[in-house]
Amino acid sequence: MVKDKIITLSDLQNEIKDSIEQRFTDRYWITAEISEIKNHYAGHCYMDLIDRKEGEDSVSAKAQAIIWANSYRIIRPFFETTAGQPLSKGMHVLLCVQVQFSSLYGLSLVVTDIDPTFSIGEQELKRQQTIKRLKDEGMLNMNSSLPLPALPKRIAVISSEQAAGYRDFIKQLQGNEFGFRFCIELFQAPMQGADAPEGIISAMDRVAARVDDFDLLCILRGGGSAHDLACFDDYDLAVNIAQFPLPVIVGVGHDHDYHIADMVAHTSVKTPTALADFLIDIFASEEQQLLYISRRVSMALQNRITEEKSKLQILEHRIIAGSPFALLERGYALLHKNGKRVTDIDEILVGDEVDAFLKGGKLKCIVKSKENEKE
Amino acid sequence: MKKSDIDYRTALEELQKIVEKIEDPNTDLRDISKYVKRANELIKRCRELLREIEDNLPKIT
Repeated sequence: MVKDKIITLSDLQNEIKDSIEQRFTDRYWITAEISEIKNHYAGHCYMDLIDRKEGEDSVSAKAQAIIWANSYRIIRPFFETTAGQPLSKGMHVLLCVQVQFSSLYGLSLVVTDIDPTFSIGEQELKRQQTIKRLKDEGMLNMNSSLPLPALPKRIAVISSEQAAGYRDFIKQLQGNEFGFRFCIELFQAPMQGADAPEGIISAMDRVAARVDDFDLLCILRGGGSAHDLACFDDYDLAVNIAQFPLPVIVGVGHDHDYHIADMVAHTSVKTPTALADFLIDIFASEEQQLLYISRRVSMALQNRITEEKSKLQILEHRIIAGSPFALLERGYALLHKNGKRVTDIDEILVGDEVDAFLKGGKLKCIVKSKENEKE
Repeated sequence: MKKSDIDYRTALEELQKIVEKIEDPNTDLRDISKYVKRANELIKRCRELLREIEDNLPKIT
């Protein structure tokens, strides 16, 4: 190539700029994944947008995007209110962009609008796919098939020490009205954001390494925004919970939050406080059962004693009622011949000597005559 | 399963059986006191296990 037409970098860049700006005059609605996002102190938002090849992790396109402060002031609250979470790394978004080229800063996409409904749909779809995958892999009921120990006292807790939820849990457990005592060991982990799944999994590995020291694993944090808690829909975290060697009890968020972590756990409760109550109830109901058994024993014993006493009374009554002395009291007499009781007139002959017993004493009698009823 | 858990479950099972024997009117009177004594021992043991503190871990403070 002949070097007769040498131009400066600026000239070249200007030509690129001109051709881009002539060619791309519209606004374009594009879908992309946010791979980096930074909020500038002046109120602008800088993002790296990427595309991935279908079904692969490798990046097939990348561009820098900017939301200028004047737009971001409007876009940001609208997006957060509608999508229930802020724009963040890893999120799929539908954006309206204008193409801009600067000789100094290169190509950038200036974002003028974002459609939050697209991100909601994407996330829900991803969630449903994760649930289906876990179901197909048999993970949903794996942890819940582990038997719960009768007396779970040694509790491994994954939480963040500063989290209000952890303090609520400890307070509730420690202050239980029955005075049950638990041994708690905290394994710290970040409980929100993109690092949470990995952090929680690494804490779970530390617990699993000492599996014999514990009866249960509790994963807990207080409620938060949908975005804060989105990490509890993570597939890898769900698999780790499902396959954990101890029963895993999850107490994350508040009433309206139900996460994939809840589905794969042995048991899930609404809040850390409810988790403490769950543990206390196990002991309280066992103790109540023991009190009931103890009462059954004493009642059975009491009943048996009463029963035996009444048997004795009946016997005593029968002995008294059957005694011949009772008959003598009532005016009857009893005949004995040769020391034996006479029960039939045929046993006696005229001239026999008999003893007649009656109230107060005995008569010695000689039979002068006899009359049989039959004759 | 740890030892105290096995102890508890076994004791509870034995307890259930013994209570049934105490409640059975056909049980010989001479055996009753033996059963009651054993039942009380087991109840005591179970309650101890419920409230026992395990020393191998730090307590919550």
